[in-house]
Amino acid sequence: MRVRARRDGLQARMASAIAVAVVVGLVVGAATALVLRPILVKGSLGSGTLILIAVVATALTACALISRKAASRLAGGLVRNLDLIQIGVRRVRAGHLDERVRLDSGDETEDLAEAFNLMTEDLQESIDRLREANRELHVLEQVKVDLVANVSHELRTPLTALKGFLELLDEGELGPLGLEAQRAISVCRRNADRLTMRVDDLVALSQMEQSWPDQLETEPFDLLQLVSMVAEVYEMRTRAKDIRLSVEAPDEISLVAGNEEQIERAVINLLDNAVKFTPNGGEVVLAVEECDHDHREGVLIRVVDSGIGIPGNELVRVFDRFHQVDPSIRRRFGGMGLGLSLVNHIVESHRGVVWAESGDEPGSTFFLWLPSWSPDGDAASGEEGVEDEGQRRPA
Amino acid sequence: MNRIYIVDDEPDMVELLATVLKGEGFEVETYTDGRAALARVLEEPPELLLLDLMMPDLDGFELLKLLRLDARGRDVVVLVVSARTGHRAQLETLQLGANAYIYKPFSPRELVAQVRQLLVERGGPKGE
Repeated sequence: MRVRARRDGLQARMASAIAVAVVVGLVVGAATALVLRPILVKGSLGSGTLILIAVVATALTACALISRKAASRLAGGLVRNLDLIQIGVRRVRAGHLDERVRLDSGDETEDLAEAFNLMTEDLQESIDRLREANRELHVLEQVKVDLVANVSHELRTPLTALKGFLELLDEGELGPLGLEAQRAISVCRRNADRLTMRVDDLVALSQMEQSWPDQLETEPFDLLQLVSMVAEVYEMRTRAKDIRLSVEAPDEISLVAGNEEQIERAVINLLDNAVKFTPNGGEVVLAVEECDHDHREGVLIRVVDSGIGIPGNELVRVFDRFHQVDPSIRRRFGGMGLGLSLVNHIVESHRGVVWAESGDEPGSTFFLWLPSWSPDGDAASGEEGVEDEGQRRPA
Repeated sequence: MNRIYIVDDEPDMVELLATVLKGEGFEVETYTDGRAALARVLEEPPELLLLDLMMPDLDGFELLKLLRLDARGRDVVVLVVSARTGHRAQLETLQLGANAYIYKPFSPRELVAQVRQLLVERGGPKGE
């Protein structure tokens, strides 16, 4: 930045003060010499020399006196103006962006004050613009949540009619059905159930993004019970695809803290994913065991499928929202992005970890780890921070 | 025999609810319009009212409010059937005087169990 010296600036004032001092000094010196001339000429030195010495001495003294006075006056004004600017800076730092420094000094400090004012104005404008953008973003976020809620509401009523009549048909309440019809109805029911689950996922995810985890109600619960219940519910689906679902679990396991309903949703989503990607006649394992992670005690759930597997570079990305490994997979198996990103959301909000592994063998394994509950402290608010986005494996 | 009125602006929902409850031996009347339903309830109160919340004109909240303001509608058992999930709608309807709340989608079995439970609490089911 180039700074242009003002014509009435500090430099000019100093120069004019010195010039005045020199002129005044010379005049005073000359006057002094004239007054002292009769006395000086009586001495031994030449009269010209004496007069010169007298003039110079007097002029220097006068110069010094006048310059000192001028400098102290200039410095005084400068300090006062800088103080005013400093007060302005402090006020702006305290958040008073409407603060303006008014100086009428006619020198560079006035320029500085003006620059400060312009900068503050720009700052205020920028902040106003950001605030407005932020407000719009909040409104949009709310619109999104409302939209999802409305869509889900619109879907729930037809789903109820669909599922209700299918159940009546399936249970023979509306008359006997042939074997083929019975099978068709079962397929319809399963898919209506899955559709319901997707709608619930969508709502849960949108609400979670907005208000999670403040509204999370947590209490200690037994993952063993949860796992066996989920497996029972899932038998119907796995039977339909002729998939063998085996549960591996110890007799006892430590409790975990959290929202049981949410964790159940996460486990169901993992299982749903595994069943979906396992071909007919395959096998799915649902295992639960105690396992430490990152020096924390906890419980690990493994969901092993014998599906097509996941390429290594996609293992982390599968938890991203709406991500699908391969568009051709999406066409063959339908969406899985929403379900897994919800799992990720739920588990992270419980200070747990979720990750996937897929080796040379066909199939992949999804891991869901949750910290153990301890009576003296809520595990969900333990001392450790939330895992990094990218880090989903135990150390 | 227990008489149940069904109010829902979706004809398909009404048909499902009616089919299920008739199958269980209840006497059923159906309405797709809130005002007509309210008039009928006040004229001849049923033992139980199945009430949808989101309806045009007179919605479930308003209907419930008006019902409870009237002496003739004060004792009618109201089961709210709604697609609105979350505690807010549920709490609001319970505060307005609903007896229970069931979320869509529900299974017919779930609905029947809930209806029977409410009628037992009210003083014994007379259905079947």
